[in-house]
Amino acid sequence: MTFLYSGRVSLLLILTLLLTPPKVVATETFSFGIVPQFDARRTHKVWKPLLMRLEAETGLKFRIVGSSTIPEFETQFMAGEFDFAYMNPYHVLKAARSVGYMPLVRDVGRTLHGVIVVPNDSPITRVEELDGKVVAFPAPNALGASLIPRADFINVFGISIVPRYVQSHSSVYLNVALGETAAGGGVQKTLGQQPAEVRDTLRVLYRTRETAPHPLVAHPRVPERVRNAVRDGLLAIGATEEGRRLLEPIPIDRIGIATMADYRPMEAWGLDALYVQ
Amino acid sequence: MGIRAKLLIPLLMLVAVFAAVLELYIVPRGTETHFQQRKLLQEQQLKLLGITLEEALLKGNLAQVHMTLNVILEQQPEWQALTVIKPDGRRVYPVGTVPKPDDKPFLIELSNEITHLDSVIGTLHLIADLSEIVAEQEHQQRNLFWALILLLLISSGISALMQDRLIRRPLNLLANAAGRVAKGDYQVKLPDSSNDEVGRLMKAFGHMRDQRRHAETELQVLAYTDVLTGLPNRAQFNAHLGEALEHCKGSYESLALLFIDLDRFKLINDTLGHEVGDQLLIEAGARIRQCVRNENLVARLGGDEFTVVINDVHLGDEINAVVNRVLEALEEPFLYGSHEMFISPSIGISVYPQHGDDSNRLIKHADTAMYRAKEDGGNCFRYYKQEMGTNMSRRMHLESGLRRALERDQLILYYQPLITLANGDMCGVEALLRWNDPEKGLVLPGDFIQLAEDTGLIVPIGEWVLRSACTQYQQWRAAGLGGFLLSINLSAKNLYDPCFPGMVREVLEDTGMQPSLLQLEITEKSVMQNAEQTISILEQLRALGVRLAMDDFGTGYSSLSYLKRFPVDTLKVDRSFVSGIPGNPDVCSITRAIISMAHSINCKVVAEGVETPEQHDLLQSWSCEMAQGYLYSKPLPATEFQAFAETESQDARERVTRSYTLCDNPIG
Repeated sequence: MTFLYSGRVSLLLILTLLLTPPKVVATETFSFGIVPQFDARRTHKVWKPLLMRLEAETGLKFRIVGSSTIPEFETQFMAGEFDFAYMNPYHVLKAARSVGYMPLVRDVGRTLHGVIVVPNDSPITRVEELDGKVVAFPAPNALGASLIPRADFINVFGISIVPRYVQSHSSVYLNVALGETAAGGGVQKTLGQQPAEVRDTLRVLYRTRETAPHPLVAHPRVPERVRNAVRDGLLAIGATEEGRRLLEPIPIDRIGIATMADYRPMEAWGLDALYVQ
Repeated sequence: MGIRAKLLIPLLMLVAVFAAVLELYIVPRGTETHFQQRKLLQEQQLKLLGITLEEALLKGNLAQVHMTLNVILEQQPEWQALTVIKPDGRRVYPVGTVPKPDDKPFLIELSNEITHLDSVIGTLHLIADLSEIVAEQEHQQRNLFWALILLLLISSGISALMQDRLIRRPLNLLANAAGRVAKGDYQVKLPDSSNDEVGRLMKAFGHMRDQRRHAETELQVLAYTDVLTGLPNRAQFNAHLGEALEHCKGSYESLALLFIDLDRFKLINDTLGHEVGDQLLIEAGARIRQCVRNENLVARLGGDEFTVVINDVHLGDEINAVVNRVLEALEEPFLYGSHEMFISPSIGISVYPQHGDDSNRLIKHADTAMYRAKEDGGNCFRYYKQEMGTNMSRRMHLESGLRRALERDQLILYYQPLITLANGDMCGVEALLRWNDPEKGLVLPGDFIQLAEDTGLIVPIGEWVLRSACTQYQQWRAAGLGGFLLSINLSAKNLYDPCFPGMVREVLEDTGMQPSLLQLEITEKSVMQNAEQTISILEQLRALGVRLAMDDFGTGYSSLSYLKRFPVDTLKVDRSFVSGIPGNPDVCSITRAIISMAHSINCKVVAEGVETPEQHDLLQSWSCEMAQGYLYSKPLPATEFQAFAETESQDARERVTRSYTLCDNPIG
């Protein structure tokens, strides 16, 4: 601090700041953490073009960081290791108090919710009938596929089910399709990605409460200017046809502003009780 | 079947058997083994798969399970159907219906239990079709084996080629060469020989061919060569004569053919042995050869016959020159150890074209001329003349007749008495041989004795004469006659026969003839021919007790020094002397001298051929003891003689009473 307040040095700094164009603020690289929904390669494939575009747009530099497992990522996220992050809303909420990640943009064309599937020929027609049954989920903390449905079972339907965590969305659907479990929890997107022979044997029993999808957040330490630049840059990208194509695989259909208020309602859903540390 | 076939066929059969064994046994076995191995491999892979799936299955991570299985199925083309079934029977893989594969030969079903801590959490069921992989392996194996067979066939082919080059071709060459050599073509060329067995065969064949050529040449030589003398033989002579005549015909030349026969060779051969005889022939042949120019042929026909072919004769003098040279050359004595032998040739000459224009005729005429020379006493040459031919055949006729005469008892003995000049008593009898030939009538010895001697018939004839005479004498004795001498003529041949004394002894024993009453006469000529030998035989005869007389005395070339060595008792004065009495005073003187000389060596004298009383009286006055001749009696047949003898004895008795001079009994 004394350094900054040094008269000549601060003068020099101001001059430097004045003389350099505003776009090339600094060659500072910002870390971009992306939840490993997919493997690293795919993550990279999806995000790198976008970020490169963003770099061009903003003149900033970004470094993709990620961890191999979601839990690990969650830990890092909660520890506030990332300058920017793409994370599920639940964690954003959770980190609000500790880190205070600030949502920038999100897909405004979709909602985040889970689906409960049963085999086509299952006798079960109502969620209540799942009481006491074994239901497959990818992992305890999967927001749309596990947390929200489970919370709904308890808080909306008052039923108690036996969860089985089968590691992946695909596993959930297979388990249900093959009759291993009475039902399974997943999300529409992954359901749609299943091969026809699996997908066609399932039907959606229940659609959970919904929330806004994953935001792109910024760590508070990131200067507002930068935050804004990123936000604006992304919005700008989303405005172009070719930019939309870059956003699509994330997936972001239509990019828009994200606020904390979008996610607040989720606090009351009772997800904390179901979250496994 | 050629060697190539013989070698290839078993090989091909072997290959066929091999292929059959491969196809029917080894390949199927291999396939089976491979199948089992593959099956085992699938089992192991399935097991491994089970281990891989354990965790995911346990956690219910069916996506993982499915992904693994899908990957595996993709990787394993043989795996047709894979299912995972949980212990409660629920199938967790695959989604949907399980495809049922077709029934194929190498379809296998395998199961593997997926366990977690000893409890089964699922079962893997696999249906795999190994047909393709097995088929491929079988295919590969078969390929390998067929490659092997191909290799075998190729090497057989190469081997066959090599055989062809190294064995068949040389052998064929050799067979052809052998064929040609057998036909006498020695020009065959053998290929350069290698250092192997075939090469050895080639070399050996080459040696054999050379040896055969050598042997054939030698054989040629031998076939045409007389072994003993080294001169050309009869075969060569015939061939040569034929060729020479052909040449002469073409070139209008003349040639002469000489037939040379060695006189009395048989005698020498018999008395001195074949060794000496052979040496003599060799020497004679060599001498003849030296008398003749090189280009003229000298050959030995066999026995003691030689022949000379003189080519390109222009003058008769040429022939005579050769002949005289031959006569001179053979005149020289032949030495063998301590023996000194003399021989002489009889040479017959025929000339082309005068005496014939073909071999046979020329030969025949030369032979005839030779016989003529022989008949003329030998040691001379005769040219063939027309009439010789007839004489020749006459001679041969005579010879065969004589042989038959002995067999057919055509020979008879006539007996001529000897009388004592002093008192006229018969004191002896000479047996004379006659031949009663049915065709010719009575043949005198002069006409056949020489022939008998030449042919050797004289030996059996001589024995016959001796035996017959002695037998006859004994008959007379039995009839009351006897006490007189029996005189028999010997030929020179008998003198040189070592067996002769033995034969005489035999006859004496057989007939019981008293030796002292037997007198053997030998001509002076025969005695002198080989004095030493003669003395020995004569002494042997003397030892038997027989008497000996020398016949035709005064006509031979007796050396007087030898005369006293001969153990003779009597000399018979030749009739040629007697016939000169009393007309020829010289003859009378000589005869008187002979009588005197004979007495001086204690020999009696017999005068032969007394025909007149004057001769009788003169001889008596010269103290000649005995005489024989037509004055007293001609030779008589046995019966007539017997009659004569009987009357004689009567007369003798009368004379004894009349006369006072006793005959000097020769028996004393």
